Amino acid sequence: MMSKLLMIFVCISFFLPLKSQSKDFFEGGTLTGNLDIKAQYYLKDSVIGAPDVPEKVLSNGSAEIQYRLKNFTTGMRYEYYLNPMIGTQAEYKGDGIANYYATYANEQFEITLGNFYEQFGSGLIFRTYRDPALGLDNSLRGALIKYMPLDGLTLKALMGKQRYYWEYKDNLVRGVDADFSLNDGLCFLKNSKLQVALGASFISKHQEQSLHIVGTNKINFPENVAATAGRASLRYDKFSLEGEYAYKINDPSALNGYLFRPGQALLLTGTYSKKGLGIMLVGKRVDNMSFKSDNQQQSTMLNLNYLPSTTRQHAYALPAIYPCETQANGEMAFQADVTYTIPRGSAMGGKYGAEVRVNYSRVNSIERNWRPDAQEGTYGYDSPFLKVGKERYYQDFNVELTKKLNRSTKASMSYINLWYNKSVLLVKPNEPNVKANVLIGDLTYNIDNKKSVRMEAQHLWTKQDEGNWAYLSAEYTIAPNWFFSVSDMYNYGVSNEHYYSFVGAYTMGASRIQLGYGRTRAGLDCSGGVCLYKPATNGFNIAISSTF
Amino acid sequence: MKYKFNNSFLSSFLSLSYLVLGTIVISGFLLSCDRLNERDYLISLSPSDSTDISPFAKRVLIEDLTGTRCPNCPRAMRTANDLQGLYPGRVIVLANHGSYQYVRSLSSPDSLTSEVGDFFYKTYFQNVGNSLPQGLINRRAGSNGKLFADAEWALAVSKEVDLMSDFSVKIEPTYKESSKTLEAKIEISTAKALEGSYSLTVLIVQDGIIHPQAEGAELVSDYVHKHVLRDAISSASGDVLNSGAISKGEVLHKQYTYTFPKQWARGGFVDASSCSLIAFVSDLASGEILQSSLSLKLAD
Repeated sequence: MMSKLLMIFVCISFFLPLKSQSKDFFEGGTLTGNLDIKAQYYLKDSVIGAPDVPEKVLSNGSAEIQYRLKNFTTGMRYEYYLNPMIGTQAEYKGDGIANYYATYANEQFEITLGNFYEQFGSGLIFRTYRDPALGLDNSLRGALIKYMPLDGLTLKALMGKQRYYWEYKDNLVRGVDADFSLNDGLCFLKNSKLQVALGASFISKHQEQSLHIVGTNKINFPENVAATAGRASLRYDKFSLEGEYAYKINDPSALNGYLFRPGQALLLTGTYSKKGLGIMLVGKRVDNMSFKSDNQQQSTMLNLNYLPSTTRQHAYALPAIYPCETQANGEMAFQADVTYTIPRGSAMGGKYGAEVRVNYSRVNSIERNWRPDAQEGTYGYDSPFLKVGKERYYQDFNVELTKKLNRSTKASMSYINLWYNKSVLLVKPNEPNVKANVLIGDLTYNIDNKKSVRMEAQHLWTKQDEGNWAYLSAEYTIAPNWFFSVSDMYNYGVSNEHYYSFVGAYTMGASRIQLGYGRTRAGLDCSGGVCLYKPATNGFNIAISSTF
Repeated sequence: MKYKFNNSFLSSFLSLSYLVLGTIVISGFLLSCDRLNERDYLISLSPSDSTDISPFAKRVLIEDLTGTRCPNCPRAMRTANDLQGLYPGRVIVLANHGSYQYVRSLSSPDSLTSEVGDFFYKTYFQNVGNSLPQGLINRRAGSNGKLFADAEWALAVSKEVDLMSDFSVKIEPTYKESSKTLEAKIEISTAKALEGSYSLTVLIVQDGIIHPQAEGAELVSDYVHKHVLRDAISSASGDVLNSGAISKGEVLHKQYTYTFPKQWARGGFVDASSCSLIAFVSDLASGEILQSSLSLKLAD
């Protein structure tokens, strides 16, 4: 009955006037929300491994509303997976209220009851968030309190149970965080050019004893597992330096091979930024930092923390074939990124100037010295903190040049050199590492102030894996309403298969409807270092979204 | 209203006081963690007394969906073998080498797959995606339909082995090497009167098959595979056991004849001496396995 009422509410909301303004229900109150529906009619395509779907049509959707009245905010989100689309976890099958909350906030104090998303520092020990494309929602349901007693000081405390598809695991999560901007809180630093912020956080989870057998023994799982982190941020003029160190006590789990070794992570980021030049350097060490509220969970669900990726997240189709997933069990990573604006009027910049971006990232294993008795239920290994392991996981060197050619035309060219450890990153043992070169050209031409055309050409050369790929796409936009695109990703190295796509979309105000037809290849879909394997598909699809 | 002090000393003092207070709170939490000493990592278990197993004590069938290219699957098999050691005579393992999407075989066709394995895959494992290893535990409800991740097997099995069944299953195989024929008599006894509908499935599994297997980042060329599902001598979906109510103490009989091929349908040497039979009774309505049994090796 509840589901039917919500479905009616969703339908009514969709037919509300399609404007981006909020609706006033009570004096001073505002109602906002959004609606998102996706559906696909599936065609069996055994050549690419697209499965036969007995239901023919699968659909995912959500409707979210939020009501705000002075200091009070409440909201809920309805989700349905009827049945879950290919690439969405089958455990989501069904529908219901996935999220609800009520918040009271004033200048000094904020309390939320219900579902909440929160992050401590960089997320090394705690981050809850939602990523619908990956089927990720690790929100906590419980209570979150924020207290700002002084300028620059924010204290947080939380307790809750974590969402696991349509239920909430019994395992308790609790934590505290303190964030202190010294320049706001200490008068003698108020006008200083040096800006300093400090933070500390603590997270603990309680889980009743699991069961895992090792020979004639069972693992003595610690019921309370805690992690703590400290962070600092320094900014002076054009320079900034941020660092966070995290430590987790013994946490034997299905993902770490039931080892009792504690976990550690260190993330350092330095930047230099002035007009026309930006430099970023990132260094990261992760050692045994998978942290879940259920130590037996092996999928992407129930993560308590987030280990950010230290590689460039490629949006273009061909380099995205080889994404680098963060290795929670151990990695040493480095990234350097330089962006330089070539001035207008210079020899290289021409009339409009240009932008050059050079990026390099490298991910290696950590050095592990396995103890003689290492197996499930032992400490496992020792690892010198600053030593880089010998095994390379990933390397990416890329250069991108973006230039406005004339008043109507903007172009960019990119070159990417990739080295990819398939055994580790795709868990395909005994397969050779992939060495690939990618060239990308991207051109946007404004026909007039409403119409524009964008064309993209990519090529990937490699002798390993599936061999060479070529990609072409063309997009035609008639602002503000219409969008059309056609693309083809062609593997002529091994399979000789085309992965084509035809898309048309209409936008009116805050609403958009998109129709498409095409093939998608099987592979990892990644966002920020978190990946989900998605099978190949073929079919017609529709997506509707609206915000009010 | 937030405090705004003009007195810089008082402001700084309060700020530092909050930090100290926060540190004390965090330290308090730190003391509530369970940090273990090395000697406490494991708890010794006593394997069950194998001489005292009632024929109606419930056996647990683990159907392990596995594959030669699945790098985590050897870990699952170790878990299954450990559970067999912990509950001798109570845990039966079946390794189904059958999956199309993620676990592409190292060789094509993979000689460890089977038609009956394909049938079970289509019936029970369609939602597995690439989240291997996964398995069925007596085909009862799991965390994802009927699926259990291998990390969940120990707890699921521990709950099942505590139970008694309404059935006992006894297998009497007679194998003749000269004609490669097998006569299998299955005797099913009931502990009480039953109204439901039940089926019997009888499968052949083989041990000791040496075949490459991915394990972690390595490829083990001489991996020894155990419990490999080879064929069904009943219908793969089970033969109906009863047409009406079953009275308490009633004994039901089924008899099968099977001729071993020279080679398995998808390749691989047939060695009856390393084969056993698994027979299980299922509830036709729910599909749950109510009792199972494992025979000795056919040439024993």
